[in-house]
Amino acid sequence: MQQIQRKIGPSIAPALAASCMLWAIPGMAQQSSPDEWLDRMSTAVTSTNYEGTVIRRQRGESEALKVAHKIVAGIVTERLASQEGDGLEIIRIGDEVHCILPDRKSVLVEPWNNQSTLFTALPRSEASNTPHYDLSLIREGRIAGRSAIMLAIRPHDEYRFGHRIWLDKQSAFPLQTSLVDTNGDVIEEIKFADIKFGDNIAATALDTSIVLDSFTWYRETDRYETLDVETNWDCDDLPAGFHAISMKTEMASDADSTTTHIVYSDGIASVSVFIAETSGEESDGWALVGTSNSYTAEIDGFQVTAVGEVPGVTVQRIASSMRRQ
Amino acid sequence: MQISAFVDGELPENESQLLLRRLSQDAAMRQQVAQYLEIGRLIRRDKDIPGVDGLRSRIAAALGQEPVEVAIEPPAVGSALMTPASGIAVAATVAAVALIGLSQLGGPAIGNVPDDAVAIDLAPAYTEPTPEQVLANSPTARLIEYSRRHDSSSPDLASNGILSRMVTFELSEGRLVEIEPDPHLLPVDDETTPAERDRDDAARSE
Repeated sequence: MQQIQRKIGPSIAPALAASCMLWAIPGMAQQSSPDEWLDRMSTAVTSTNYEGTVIRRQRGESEALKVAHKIVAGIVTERLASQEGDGLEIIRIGDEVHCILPDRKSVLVEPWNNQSTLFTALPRSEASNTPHYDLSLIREGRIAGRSAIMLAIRPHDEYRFGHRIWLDKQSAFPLQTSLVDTNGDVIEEIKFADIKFGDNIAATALDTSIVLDSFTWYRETDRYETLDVETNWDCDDLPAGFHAISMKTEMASDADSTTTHIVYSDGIASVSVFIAETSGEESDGWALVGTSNSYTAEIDGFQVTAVGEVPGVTVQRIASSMRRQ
Repeated sequence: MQISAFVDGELPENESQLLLRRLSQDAAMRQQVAQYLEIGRLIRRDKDIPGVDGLRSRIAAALGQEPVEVAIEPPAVGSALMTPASGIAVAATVAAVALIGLSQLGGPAIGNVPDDAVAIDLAPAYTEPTPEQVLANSPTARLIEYSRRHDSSSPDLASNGILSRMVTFELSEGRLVEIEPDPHLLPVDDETTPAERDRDDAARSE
């Protein structure tokens, strides 16, 4: 630095030093845009073969999972195996998941859509078009022994949660994902402690470690008859950016009454509102179901419940302002 | 929103540097910073302004100095201090005007709020619940079922996903039908080794 000062002059050297600092993070200037990283991530989640150990943290409690994901002849096979407690396992083959419950000696088979069983909460690449969030690349680091870059999705107000995603620099695979609340506290986090990529994922990594000989297999019957309907219920005070994306009437096979189910979304977060005749059994107010907040209010003789992965103030605002138009 | 990220320490380093330089030259932006921090303080009903200490420290760290509150008049436009070649001199000026903006906070009014400032509702109808309020009610079976239907209704936006299925088995018992085991999950016969299965998988993928 002193040599530079002698040649150029003391007043300019600090400016040059400051300019150099702009490029201090190696390769940051040449990185793809946040949108492009999000696009690459969406592809990587579904197309990458991997095997590893994941630490899942939710509201202060941690759980270790062995995970594996492999695509063979276009069919996705995944395995999630809890390393704690009763050793629950989930094995997905194509469009079916098998939930293996050792303590009940039961296997529950359910249909599944085409998304990853581990990363269902990731924002899609369309998040870049959502005006109520900012996308930005924050810094580089190392996760699970691999070079990674952090992508932050910041909400513009207190009605949404944010996301922090560490992406593998080589593949854009999410090595760590965090859902954060308005105080910056982590609500849920999925983090790889170790991971191996490639096509040489052993078949045994995708097999269950549980002997299923004496297990009973079940499938759940369709409980609800669902109809897409127009409803005269709507929200008078939706937070900015939320709009209805579906409206249904659902009738349980073992019930006489119907439930109106409206889904509101801002493109990243979604909130379901369920409207049913008051049963007198539910109490008003907030409750927590996993990482989802819910709020129940009685309106015009109906029980209105809003539930979703959004702050408590959001479900309260939506549920409390539902009205029959 | 770049200002918001800067206050929260989540703006990339290169963008932080650029923002500081812009603050030194843009009075309207400095006012925006002051308003933003005031809004945040009032919404959160905090007596201390969140992020201020961290902001001052970051500015001071950029200067290699201890955080010091100094009331310095912003340099006039065209001053030699404002030329890009000033380097550290520019950074010092930026730090000073940023501190001036922050020092305007805390009083009952912001003295130089523009006439066209948007009125802020300081008494929101809804507030974030306390943990006690949220945990006061345990999730009922009906609520857990609502959560499952929420996940199923919008799979692209689903939240808890498959990992939440583990806790809902009890709810399903009245609606379960016994089926035949899936052969894919049953033990393979002894004539096929895992290595042979891997070779078969690779062949199918080609």
